[in-house]
Amino acid sequence: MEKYLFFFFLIVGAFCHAQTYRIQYVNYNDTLNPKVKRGTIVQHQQDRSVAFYFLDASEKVGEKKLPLRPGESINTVIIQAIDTQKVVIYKNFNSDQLAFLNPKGLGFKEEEIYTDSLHNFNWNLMQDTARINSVVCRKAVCTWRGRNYVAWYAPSIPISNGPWKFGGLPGLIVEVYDTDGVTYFKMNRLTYSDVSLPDFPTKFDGDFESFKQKFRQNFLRRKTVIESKNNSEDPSCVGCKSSVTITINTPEKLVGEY
Amino acid sequence: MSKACFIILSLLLSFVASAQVKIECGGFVYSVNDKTPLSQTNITIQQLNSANEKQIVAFGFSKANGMFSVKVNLYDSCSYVIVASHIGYETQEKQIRFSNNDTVIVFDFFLTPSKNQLKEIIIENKEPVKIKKDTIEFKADSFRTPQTRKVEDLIRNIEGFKVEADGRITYRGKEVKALLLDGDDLTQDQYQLLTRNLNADMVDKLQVIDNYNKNRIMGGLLESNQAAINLKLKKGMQGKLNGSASAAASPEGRYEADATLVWLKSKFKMVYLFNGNNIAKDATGLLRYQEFGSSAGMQQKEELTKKIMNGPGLITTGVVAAPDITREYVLNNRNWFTSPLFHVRISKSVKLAARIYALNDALFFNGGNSSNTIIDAQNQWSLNNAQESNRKRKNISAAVELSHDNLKRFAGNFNLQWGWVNDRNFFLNKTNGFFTDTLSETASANRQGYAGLYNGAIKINDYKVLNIQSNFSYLPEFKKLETQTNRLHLFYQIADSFRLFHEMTDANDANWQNSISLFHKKGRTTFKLGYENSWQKLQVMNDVTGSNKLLSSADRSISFFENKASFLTARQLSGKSSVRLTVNGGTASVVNRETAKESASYFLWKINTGYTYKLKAFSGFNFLLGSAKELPNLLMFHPANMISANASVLSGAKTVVPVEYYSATVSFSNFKIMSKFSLLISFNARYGKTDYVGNSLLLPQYNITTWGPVHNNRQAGVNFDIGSFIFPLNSTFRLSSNANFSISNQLQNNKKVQNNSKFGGFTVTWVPSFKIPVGWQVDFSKSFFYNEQLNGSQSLKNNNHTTNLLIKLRSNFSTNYYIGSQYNYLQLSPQQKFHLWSIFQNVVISKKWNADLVIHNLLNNQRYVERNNSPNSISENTFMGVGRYFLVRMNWSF
Repeated sequence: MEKYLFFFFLIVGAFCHAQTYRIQYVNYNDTLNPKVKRGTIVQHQQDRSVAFYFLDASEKVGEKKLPLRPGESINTVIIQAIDTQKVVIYKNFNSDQLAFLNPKGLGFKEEEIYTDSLHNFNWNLMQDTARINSVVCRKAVCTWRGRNYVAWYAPSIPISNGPWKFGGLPGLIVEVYDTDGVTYFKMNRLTYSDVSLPDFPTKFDGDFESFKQKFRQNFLRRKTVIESKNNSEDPSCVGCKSSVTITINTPEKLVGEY
Repeated sequence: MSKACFIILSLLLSFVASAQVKIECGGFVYSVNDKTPLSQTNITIQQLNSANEKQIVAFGFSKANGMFSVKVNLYDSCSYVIVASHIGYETQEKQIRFSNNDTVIVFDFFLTPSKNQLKEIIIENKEPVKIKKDTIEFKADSFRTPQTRKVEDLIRNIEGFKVEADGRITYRGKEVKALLLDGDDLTQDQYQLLTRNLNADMVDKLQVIDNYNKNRIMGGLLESNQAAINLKLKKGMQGKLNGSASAAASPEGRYEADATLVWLKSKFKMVYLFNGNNIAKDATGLLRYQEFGSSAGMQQKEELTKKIMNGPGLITTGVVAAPDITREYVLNNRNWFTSPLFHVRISKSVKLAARIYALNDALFFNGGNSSNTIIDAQNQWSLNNAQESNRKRKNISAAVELSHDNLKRFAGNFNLQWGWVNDRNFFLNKTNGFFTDTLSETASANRQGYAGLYNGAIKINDYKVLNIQSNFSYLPEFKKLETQTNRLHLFYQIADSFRLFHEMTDANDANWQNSISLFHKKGRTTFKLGYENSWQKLQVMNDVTGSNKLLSSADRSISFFENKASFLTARQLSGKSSVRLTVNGGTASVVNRETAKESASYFLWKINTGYTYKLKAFSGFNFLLGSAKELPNLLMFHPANMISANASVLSGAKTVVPVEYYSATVSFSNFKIMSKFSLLISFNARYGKTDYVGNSLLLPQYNITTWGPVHNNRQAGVNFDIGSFIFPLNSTFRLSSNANFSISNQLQNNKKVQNNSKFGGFTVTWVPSFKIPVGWQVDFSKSFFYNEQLNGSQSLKNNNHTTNLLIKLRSNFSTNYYIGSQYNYLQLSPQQKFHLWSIFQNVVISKKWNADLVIHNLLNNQRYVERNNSPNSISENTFMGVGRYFLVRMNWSF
């Protein structure tokens, strides 16, 4: 009898280890103008996790009509298969590593993978509690890379992870946002999944500091070009100050000091 | 000295109070099964405060080798625990015992896999309600309790829905006209079959659709005042047989058995339903009007309430009676029904639906038994009196519907119906003594119905739609009433038999209505031009015999033919407000034939105008004004659905004259799901210059009465419904009330009669949500019904008050066990008081099996008076003493 029990628990134990949790978040990258709602999915296992984005919290590939807002005639996006499958964040809990993928654009001609430190947040745990999606959550705050973040985590779900780069709290992050309203994530689903996760990348294009430097250089170059082209007062004047000012809002302040 | 001591003592105390120790808590976390290290385990150090609440003071995680280390400052005056939690494992907690000298404390955790892992982890963003344009969607799981067995129970749990006693549903004041199963209509108007029998567990989402129109093309043209429910079934039901069955029995001989089979296969849907019971459960909603006593008053009250809610309409007045006790209180009963429903998508554009049901119902009333001893100078006689009565109904109905919708320019449906109903009411009064006297009464009706209906729409171009409708029905009906006495005089051995009263009515009604309309919708404006005609013929043969003498004999027919032109215009003023005007006019010729042929012609009209400001689905402001002069429909209760058990021809309508009325309705409704606030208020006023044509013969009765048309009918009603979540009390609170009155004049046997009726009531519901393990709900309602008929110096009065108190308690002690209790006090009159107390327990045995224990306790010690059909007599019956049963039910779903 004990032998059977041993095998039973062995199987149960093996099952638990192989378990992948699929955590789905709704994401707005500009909460002041939440026209484009995105979603992110975190596939979490005990030793690692991966996350990818998709548009409008939908995994359907094809044409998708977004809700119309006053003054808009049509608002359609095309969701390509790539949008639903692209892994953007890798986390390796055993080696305390994080890798992120920077998409093409803004001076990045190719998708590049950079490393970053895993969950380097200095969270302050608060006493506030709230019920979000029927889960009792606690509040935590931190200042990270130029922004003040508020996170609501669920101590009853002992997964120390969250959307994007967030994590490192004694419970799953259910909701996280910054006080400037730049980014917002809220969990709307947590289920099992039987997918196998991709391996942690082995080749990198640099670390976070080099990414930040490259991003900053690319952005400032682009900013100069755009602002000088939009000098409506005197187009022939080289070096004149533009009437257009380009700024950028990213969850981490990649441009400017902090 | 003392000051120095005090300072030292204070210092000591403060030192004691705030002695802080810096400690490193470390150790390993393993899985208990295979002793493998568990990484990513959350380690939290929590401080316990005076209220025994926990506050996290430090946290960390275990590494790949299972090792963890958390540094923390601890106060020796406080208590601390260290908690290890890992997804998929049971959380472990250990108390931290430390002294001021400690620097490192080691804790090793061996975590066991979580048993309820699968149940616990599935978390979804359960927004229980979503609004998408005209559809409100409810997640069924959010509204289910262990006592929620059938779809109707689920609907009752959702705020905004009201379920009438016959199973008809309204949502925020709008009547639900259809119930769809994944978008397909299987029941064709008799949706109670599904709501009362389909298992709520099968439903994933429940959608309620505003402005429902069965015809897709017509639905886009004009806003309708109809709603529909669409049940989205759970995924994974396709391609296999799903169903449920339950069987219940009690030592007292009570039983209930039901079965539901659902088979969904891509283009084919099949539902089979069965219920048989003797616990007075009406599983179809079709047994409602068979209750004993005169139910006409109840029906009129219900119809009137609905019409006041839904806008102006023809309201029947005339004879009214008090509402009677509901069938749950008739202990001696049995009924069963069976119904197969089919739906098949023959092609992309053609669908075929078939609905069949058969039911059998019987209610038995045990009359009062009394005995008397008569003593005179020479003899002593004993007299015993016994009474009994029963009501039985058999009903079969079949309907087939062929729908065509090519999803482009054409959509239509063709419907064929057949039905048969047999009603039999029996009353017996038996006296034994020195003679035996038996009085028996039998009233029976045999009715059949045949109907065909077509409704089609063609989209001529982007702006024009042609709509064609045609309805035909034929209803033959045969009614019989017989009263007989048999007397056997024991002493003289003389036997007498009297046929006291005998009435036979042979009636049939034929009805054919046609209409053709052209709609034009461009931009914000819609026009409609139409032509309608209607032909109806009622033939009645009626013979009444009293004491073997012919009292009356009639053979008459009424027919009429209407021709009307109709015009409608509707305009959207802005995104939310719109106006509408409907004008309808034409001529009608009526032919009455009894002894001689009499014909008359009338000019008829109908004008309606309205303004609507729509806030969202099921909410907004409505103002309607209407006036009409039109011929009444000779079919009672459900003119559109003639072959249900509840249809009945107005027997012996002698004359048909147009009714003329004016009406006004104002209503406002709004609700906010997040704050649980809702408001619905409506007011309806109506004046009928001439109104409903009364029956010339009422069945069953002993006096031939002639009724003239009702006139000067003044009616008004107000409905008020407010619901709110009250934060300080943490409770949901709801108040519903309505008040209606009607005064009308009529001729009875050529004498003036005035009918006054008033009715109203209120219901208060309180659902507290305190953080205690017992959930509870309190409903208190009070309603009154008053009817008076003034006939010269005579006055007939009927005054009835109903008090209802319902207390529900429920508790979930563990995930597999549920207990609920309910107390219901019902007072219909000072003589009619009922106390019903029941306990419901449910145990989940496995995923497929669960068991209920129902303790049903009906306490009624009161005798009450029921007026039966015996001549000039009132029989006093005690229908029940204590009705108690322990019902054990096994439920199986697959």
